[in-house]
Amino acid sequence: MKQDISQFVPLSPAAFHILLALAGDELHGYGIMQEIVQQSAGKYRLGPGTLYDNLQRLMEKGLIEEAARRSGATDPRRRYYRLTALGRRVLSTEVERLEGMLQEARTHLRALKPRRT
Amino acid sequence: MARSLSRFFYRGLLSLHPPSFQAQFAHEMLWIFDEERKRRGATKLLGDALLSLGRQWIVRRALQKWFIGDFTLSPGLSQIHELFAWERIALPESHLPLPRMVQGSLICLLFVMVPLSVLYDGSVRAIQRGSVTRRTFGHSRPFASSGFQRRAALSGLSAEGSLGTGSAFGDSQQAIQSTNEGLDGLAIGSSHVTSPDRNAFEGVLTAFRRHNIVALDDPHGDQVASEFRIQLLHQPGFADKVNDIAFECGNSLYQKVLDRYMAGGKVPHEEIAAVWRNTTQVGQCDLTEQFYSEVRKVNETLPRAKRIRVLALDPSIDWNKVHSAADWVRFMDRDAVAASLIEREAFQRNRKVLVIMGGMHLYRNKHDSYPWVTTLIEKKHPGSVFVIATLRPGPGPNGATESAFAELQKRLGTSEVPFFALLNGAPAGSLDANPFFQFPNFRKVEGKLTNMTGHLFPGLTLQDLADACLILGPEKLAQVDPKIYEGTPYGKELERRRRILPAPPPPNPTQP
Repeated sequence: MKQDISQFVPLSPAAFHILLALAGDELHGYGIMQEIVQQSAGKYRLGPGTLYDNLQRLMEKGLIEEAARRSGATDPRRRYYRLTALGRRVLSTEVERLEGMLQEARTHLRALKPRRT
Repeated sequence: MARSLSRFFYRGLLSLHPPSFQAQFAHEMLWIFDEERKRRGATKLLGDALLSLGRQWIVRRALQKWFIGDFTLSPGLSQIHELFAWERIALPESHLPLPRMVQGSLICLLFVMVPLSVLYDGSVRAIQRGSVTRRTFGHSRPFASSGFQRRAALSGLSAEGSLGTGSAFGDSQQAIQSTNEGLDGLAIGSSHVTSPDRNAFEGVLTAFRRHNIVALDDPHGDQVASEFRIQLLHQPGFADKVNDIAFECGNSLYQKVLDRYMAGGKVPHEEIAAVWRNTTQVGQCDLTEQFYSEVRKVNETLPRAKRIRVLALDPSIDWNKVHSAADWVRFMDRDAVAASLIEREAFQRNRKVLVIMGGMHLYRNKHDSYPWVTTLIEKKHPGSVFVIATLRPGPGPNGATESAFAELQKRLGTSEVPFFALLNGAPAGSLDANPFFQFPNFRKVEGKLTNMTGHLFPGLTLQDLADACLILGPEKLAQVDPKIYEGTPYGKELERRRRILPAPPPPNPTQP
């Protein structure tokens, strides 16, 4: 049975960036932080506390899951995370929602004609 | 001491998180703290951990679960289970056990103490920063401060003001004029480079996540860019992300010598100096010695498997066999040689390569039919190179016009330097590229030597040329005292090479 996606959106900025970072590949926590910096051109940064607090919540909701440990990983402390199918759907829905909002905002701004005094 | 204290505090904060959270994430958080502490500062990370602590105990209901015992929420209330639920916090019938009370007291204490220590730390830093700034920019005792010496140690600048301290070589120490004027400028550049915001370094290194080849342009002879590269080398995790540095100023004929030197071997100065002295570009590698020396220093701290390899990219010219311009021209297929070396390293050996070359070799100039390095590599491996263009204000041959640079800063929303920003699709990416590159350039157009200065990239925007930009302060060219080699065998050899080379383009072009 498909879950109702609408209960997960809107996403908080942190959750959105984390899901977006994991959209490409499975990453460990530090990798997620760096990916977010790259995606946002350095304008959005998560601290480890915020990151793991959100990771915990997203795992509880079933949007992400822990991936199998990689053989030959350089540091045993590294745990990898990946998007679940549900997480991917939620991310797509959120992107669509944001697109819709942007479109609406643009239409609204275009409709506003400059006032002449 | 400060490091261990901040780590101790951080561990303390982690140990106060709910046990389930600790078991799952504390080790990783501590690892990230170790990695990020230098870059972001312990204060920010401690503040972040404190917020996480608050969220875990209050917002995530852990407090209720732990103190009162877990209980089932009614269906109606479960809808708001992530909000504060103070109304449902009750006191237990019996007294809390002593350890729980102590733990609660400690948490309360920390909520007061940590913000206070953060405030205290911030004010101390502000005082220290003010003091360093005054010393660095002042003129009465310009370079006496310990702050400058620390930066100088990192950058290879001695407190006396010469480049290449600690190096086994002597070239640069004598070669760079150590006037106060020049050093003031470099100090200003350095202070910008050591800005607390590390976005520029992170930006460059994060590009390796998706690309085996990251190409950073080198405004030849610029001390500020050189300083940035050296600081990049010293970033934590640099060697985890970068395997090789492919460097334009290095004769590939001497690759084995360079490998031996980078591995920490004893290499006589004359032998290693041949790597940058004997390139096809006569006398244009003034800051290379300092850079090589810094890579060697970094390698000394790394295990053998992680050592950084420096790949010399210039064609393997043997100057002993060059007696005419025709002999020299045979080695001028520089882009093809460099592209083939980089390609082998990145794709056959699957290594992460930081390419450092002049911008013209790296920018994607689709209107230019000449096969530059990026063009050649991407012909076989489309989109495989991540190109970073250095942009900066004038004056200087590599600087932008005033209005173009002002518009760039406006679109980036910051005047911070160094600063890294992606260009593709960003407002800054659509700016006309030409006003940002004012260095003299001559091309043969329809058989006629034409001055292309300021018109290098007709119709192209910044995002056409590069994937990202690195904003630096105004350039400061290293000034080589031509007298230092006078009468030496190398000086005579330089003269001989200059006589062999074809005449350069006119110095004062009139018509573009």
